Amino acid sequence: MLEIKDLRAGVEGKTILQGINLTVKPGEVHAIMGPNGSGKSTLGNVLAGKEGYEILGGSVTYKDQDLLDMDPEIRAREGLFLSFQYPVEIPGVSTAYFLRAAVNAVRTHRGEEELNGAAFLKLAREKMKTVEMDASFLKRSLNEGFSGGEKKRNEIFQMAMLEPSLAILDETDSGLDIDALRVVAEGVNSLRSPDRAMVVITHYQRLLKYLVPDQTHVLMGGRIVKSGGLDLVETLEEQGYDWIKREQAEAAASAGT
Amino acid sequence: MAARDETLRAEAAAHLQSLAPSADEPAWARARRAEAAEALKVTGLPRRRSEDWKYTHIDSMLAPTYAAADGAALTAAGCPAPLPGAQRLVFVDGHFRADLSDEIEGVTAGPLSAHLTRPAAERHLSRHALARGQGFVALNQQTFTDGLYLEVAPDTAVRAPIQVLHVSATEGGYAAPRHLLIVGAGAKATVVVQTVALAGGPSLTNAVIEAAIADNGRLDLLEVQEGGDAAFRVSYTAATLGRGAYLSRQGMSLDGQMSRTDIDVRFSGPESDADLQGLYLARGESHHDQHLTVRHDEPRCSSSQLFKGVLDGRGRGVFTGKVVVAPHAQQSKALQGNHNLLLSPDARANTRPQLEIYADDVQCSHGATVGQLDDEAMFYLRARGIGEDRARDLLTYAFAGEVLGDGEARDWLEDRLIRWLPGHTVSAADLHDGLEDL
Repeated sequence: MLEIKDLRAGVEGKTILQGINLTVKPGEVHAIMGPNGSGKSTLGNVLAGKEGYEILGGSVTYKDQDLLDMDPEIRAREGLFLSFQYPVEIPGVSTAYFLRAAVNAVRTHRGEEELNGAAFLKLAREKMKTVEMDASFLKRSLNEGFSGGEKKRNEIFQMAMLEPSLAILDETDSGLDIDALRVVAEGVNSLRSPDRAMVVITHYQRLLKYLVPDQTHVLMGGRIVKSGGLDLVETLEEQGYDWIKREQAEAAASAGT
Repeated sequence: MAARDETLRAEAAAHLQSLAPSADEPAWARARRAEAAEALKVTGLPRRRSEDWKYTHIDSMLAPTYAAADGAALTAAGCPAPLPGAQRLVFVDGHFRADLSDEIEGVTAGPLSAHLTRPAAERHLSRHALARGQGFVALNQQTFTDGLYLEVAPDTAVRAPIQVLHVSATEGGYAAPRHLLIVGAGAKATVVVQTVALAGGPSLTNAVIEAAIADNGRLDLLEVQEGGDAAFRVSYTAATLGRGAYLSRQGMSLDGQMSRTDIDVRFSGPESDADLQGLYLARGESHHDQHLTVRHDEPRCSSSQLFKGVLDGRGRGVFTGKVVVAPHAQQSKALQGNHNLLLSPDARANTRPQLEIYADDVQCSHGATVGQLDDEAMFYLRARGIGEDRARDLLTYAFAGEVLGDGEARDWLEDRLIRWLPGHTVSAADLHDGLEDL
């Protein structure tokens, strides 16, 4: 599904990703953890195609295509979904219109017929239930005046509507209280399927209690420095990141001698 | 330079003055045309160095030699569709066209030329838009042919909107429409003034709208200026509000070579309220200048101005918002916002807030911005599969849609905005499809 090889990328002359290697297969959930500033969000943005990042080397293959060569909208139509850490507020465009435009762009790309207003609403009402959102949100301007939790639920609702092959969740758990976290996590869980992969970028462990990953990676200084299973999540919860930093420093020192 | 400037204006003014109709009018009306000629002699047409016309130079507007047209140059088939539900009067090249107009019922409304015998006409005509110091207003006062006369009796509500359509249909035509709106105490009316150029080549429309809103009266005024790539449009709207009166003014300027829109609001009684909004859309070489003056001459009045511009190509938008609060006009409230969206590197916007506040107990605020489409918002839309052109159109629609109001004309205005959007990727049907069920 996704193969990242030695990906190096930066912004404004500063290298942030120093050589990422990651392979994600259909049905898998990968967690990417790491301290602030380690490059987690950069990875998500580069994969989704945000402008302003410079690709300095390496490759990303998605469904046997060169992902880095595609415009962001083509990536989305090909089934890549980024759940934003900070969803953008767009006053004056209703959530319904925005999302129908998105769903129909994806459907047209797949050779499917566009949904009309009524068919869209029927589907939307159904999907909104999974994240406990009221249908009245559809009429409201996109994310405008939504609380932090409502914005994140809206992201997962969009994901449910767009049915991506690969979902990248960027700090979907940040700023959520415990109830909102449960709703969002259950929403994401309900979207797990054998042909859908997920990359969950998070600073904390709490989302991963609900959303048990197949693999966990620690991103530090722009590299994946450690990979493991759920046990790694637990170790990080108890001990934080300092022990990995020490390990890294020791490895660097012995390599130098 | 200054001398050439002076000569060009003087010659153009003299020529345009010669186009004044020889109308059979009451003596008072003839006297006011003569007063205007005197005022124009003193004031002249706006000079390059005039502060009020700093960014709008009228040389190109005055370059063609205009002629008056007789108003025959429009067929029923060529007449633009009316605002749904409105009763409409049609004027072509400054002349009333009864054959294209509705018979307006329930209120005194018809061509101004046929209503100059009414005492209210004598009381109000040229008493709100003042010729002194305003060259184009003076020129209009001297040369106007016709326009809407509306007189709403006290405590009467005119239910259907009254629409005036003015069409510039003749290439090289000069038209000076003049509309007089008199809203009695406690009365209520909605008026739509649509100014359209259908002529292929240059045309000049120099319009004046005067509105007198008596105590507790309400006027909802919508002005739309559109059509004609080579059209020049100057318009001056002056409104005087009595105690507790309310004016809402919505506007849209698009197309054309150059437009200058003045709005001059004066509170002549306390506790009145004016809500002014406008949208200007420029592309190609279009130039739109919006010039507002709100005079808080009485206490406890409030005014708000919200104007937005979308500028593409080499388009240019100019906004000047002047608010004058007199020393005794305590507890005045004045809000002003002007926001401009530049869609191209060659588009330009000038924005000038001018607040003159001589009272101490007031609430005034202003804000002005000139910016581009938000990168984060663009990425958000594209990351959901929405193409770049459509994402730009949607964000432009979202920006401009805020100043289309929420009245019965919103759809009518929105339709114009959507057709204007550069990518042509949004349809009105799509925007609202299904939403009515929510």
